[in-house]
Amino acid sequence: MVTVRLATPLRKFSDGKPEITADGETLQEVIENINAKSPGFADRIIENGEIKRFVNIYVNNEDVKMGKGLATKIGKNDIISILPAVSGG
Amino acid sequence: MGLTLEEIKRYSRQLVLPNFGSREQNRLKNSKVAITGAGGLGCPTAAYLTLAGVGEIHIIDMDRVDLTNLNRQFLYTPQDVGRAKAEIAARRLGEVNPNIKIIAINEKITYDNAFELLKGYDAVVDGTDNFPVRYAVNDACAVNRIPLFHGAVLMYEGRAMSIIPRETACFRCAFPEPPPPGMVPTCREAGVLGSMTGLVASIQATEAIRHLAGFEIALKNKLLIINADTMEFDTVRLKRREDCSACGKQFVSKPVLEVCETRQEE
Repeated sequence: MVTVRLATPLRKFSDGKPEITADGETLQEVIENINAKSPGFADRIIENGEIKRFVNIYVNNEDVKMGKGLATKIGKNDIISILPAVSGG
Repeated sequence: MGLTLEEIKRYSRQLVLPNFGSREQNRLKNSKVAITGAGGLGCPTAAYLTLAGVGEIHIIDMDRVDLTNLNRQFLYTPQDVGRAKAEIAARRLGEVNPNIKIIAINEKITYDNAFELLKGYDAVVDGTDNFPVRYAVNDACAVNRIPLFHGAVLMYEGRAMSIIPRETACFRCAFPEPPPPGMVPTCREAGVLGSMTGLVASIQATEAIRHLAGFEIALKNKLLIINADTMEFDTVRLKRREDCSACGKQFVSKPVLEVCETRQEE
């Protein structure tokens, strides 16, 4: 199980919870497993097999787009943060 | 220009801070800062910069005070409803610290005027409330090489980052594109607590004041994510993108409004 932190705009997929746990050995698998419980989740994040341009995903605070993207290997104690930009003020 | 006796007494609580002396206070006194947006973030950032003794503060906002602003925008009273925010904020803060110059700029920031409007400042503190203006402010600061102190709030979540153009990741490096319209709600739609805007604004102001005084700042190449549900403060690492359309090798940015509209048509 890994911890997945969801930014406010994505919390309709977690019953409003800021943090959920999920299984998966890669980032892609983790997202698919969340999607199985909360359909529509993957579509908010992935487009044509890649992370959407306006969504950032950090594994242990590192941007996966600068590394292996959806193929990033996920370990047991990793923390994944998924966030689009917010603009309120 | 040195400090007057009144200033030495007024700022004495910060002048006793380690490594903070008359040289640092004079740097603040000789600084010129723009606050974009005099709302939930802009009121407290403008207030703290005023209190700290930043010499010249320009408050840019064309909105008028609305009753719904008063749960968080503490520079306004019910009597101010309908009046120009920038002017009231400037007048009120001018009373708090008559040593400094505060100028109200009653103008709407757009992609067309941002590059001219945001020129000649030592820093910009962003307290705007929508993507088109935020990207315009970011791009103008990137091109004009003005340090930008970013903050944003949504419900119980806050974000902050400090941008030194051409040295650290800018807002477009972190988020090359805004989310499509409707994906990320506004404060009007989703709500915001005044203390959350105060929390984020205090961080923006602290970073800006420290930078202007000559200190190293903490939120370069970092995005701070504050989650008031858990009171976890995360910092994720950011990197400059060589292909960034605002601060990369070639400036090719377009107004975000155009990007949003194109996407809606698709």
